[in-house]
Amino acid sequence: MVSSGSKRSKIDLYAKVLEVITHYPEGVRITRLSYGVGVPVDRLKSLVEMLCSFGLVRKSGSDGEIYYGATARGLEFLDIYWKMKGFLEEFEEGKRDY
Amino acid sequence: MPDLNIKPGETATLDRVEGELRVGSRARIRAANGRSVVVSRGVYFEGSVEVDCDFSCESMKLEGRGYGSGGNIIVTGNLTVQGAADIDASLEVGGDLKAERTEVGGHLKAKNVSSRLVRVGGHMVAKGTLEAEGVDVGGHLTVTEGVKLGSLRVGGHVKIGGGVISGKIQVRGHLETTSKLEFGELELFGHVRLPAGSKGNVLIAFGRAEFLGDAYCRAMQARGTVKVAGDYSGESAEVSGKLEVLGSLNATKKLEIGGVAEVGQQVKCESISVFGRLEADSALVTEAEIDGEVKISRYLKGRSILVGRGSTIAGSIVGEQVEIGKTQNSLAHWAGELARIGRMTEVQDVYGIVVRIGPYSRARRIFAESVEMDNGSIADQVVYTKDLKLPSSCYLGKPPIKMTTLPEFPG
Repeated sequence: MVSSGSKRSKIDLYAKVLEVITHYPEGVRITRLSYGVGVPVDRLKSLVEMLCSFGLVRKSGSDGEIYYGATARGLEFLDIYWKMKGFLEEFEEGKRDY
Repeated sequence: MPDLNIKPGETATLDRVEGELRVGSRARIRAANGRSVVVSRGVYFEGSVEVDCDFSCESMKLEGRGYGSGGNIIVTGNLTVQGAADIDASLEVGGDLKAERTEVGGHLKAKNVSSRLVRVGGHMVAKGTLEAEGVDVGGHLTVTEGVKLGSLRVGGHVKIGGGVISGKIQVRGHLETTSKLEFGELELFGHVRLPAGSKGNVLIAFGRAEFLGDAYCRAMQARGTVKVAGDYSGESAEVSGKLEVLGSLNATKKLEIGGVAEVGQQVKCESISVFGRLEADSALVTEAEIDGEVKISRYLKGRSILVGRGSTIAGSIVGEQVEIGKTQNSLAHWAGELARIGRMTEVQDVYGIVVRIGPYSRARRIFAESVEMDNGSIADQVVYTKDLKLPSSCYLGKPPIKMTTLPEFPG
């Protein structure tokens, strides 16, 4: 589930990985990505491979280096994720007012 | 081949380095003159390095081994890079950072930052000002003082001390500014609170935007919620979510309301389309197309007012050409139309030059030069000065009255 609180769910982690990837339209190496996401490389690799299998991230390579980029489906997921997060936060705030 | 090599773990005292410098992991650099070290060409860091002075070089690079393996660069003084600072891990500058291009994979901290382009994968903190053509931050951005930016894109939250962002701003999280902000195009998914005096070109709010005083925005799309604690003015506004304006709303061109708009005082615009709900004290337009609900305390006044089937208007309608319930308008929102099937078009007092009341439409009182009513229409009272066309099956509460002059129109 998209969380509006402090604990990150798996979906939040996928969104974080994708969000950082989208800040590198030319593609990003796994080491650089790991610093942006704040997750060690070995754990990040399995997250990124999962996103590739869902069709949200694509791999490309040159000179033995692998670069990751977001697909159109990945951008669509992010758009929906942020909109849903906005709604959930508003509902939480509405609940507190009552 | 670098011109100078500092071994891992070594502490080097330098002055000016002619050529390239390679620095081993966990090394320290100090200034021989107690102030600064200058490297005439590029610097390559193998891992975490601490620089205990001001540092200047042509370019700077660090390729890390991944998060958790170190590789952070700390410069206690000012850092000046003529070209690109390209650091995989994090960069912390105790003083000011100046560079042509700043690329940091992890976090970036500095005092005042001036760089043509800044891209940070993690979070960025500037305990001073931030000046750049483009800033791109994957995590959160905090700038204690003002900003002067061309474009800004942030994957997390933004907290700044006001300033100018002349181009596009995209913020995934919340945007908080302690002083007024002038912006180009602001697209936000979270919340933003803009102090009084803030103004911009385009606002696209998927989340919640709040103006703490009067607001100016050339074009506004309120897909989420927009609140203005004063008067709102601009060229156009499109509301598919909710717009609340405490004062008046002034659009020099078009106002389109598919969601809900609540305006404390007057709405004034060239043309208005309502296929959601509008509440206001009064509305002054040139053209109005209503296919929803309008609640006006005083009057809705315009040259041409078309009220589609199933719509309801509370408040007086004043127009030159007024049509009530004759057609379904072209901008009818399908969901609203479904809700209005089978509903009577209901309005209150109508004042006009030519007034046409369509089938299954109800008006309270009608005051016009010419009045035309359709089958199934209802009016409590009709007062006219020129023509009256009544079909066989319309209902009038009182017999129609022909007068030489009409009473004064509201507004």
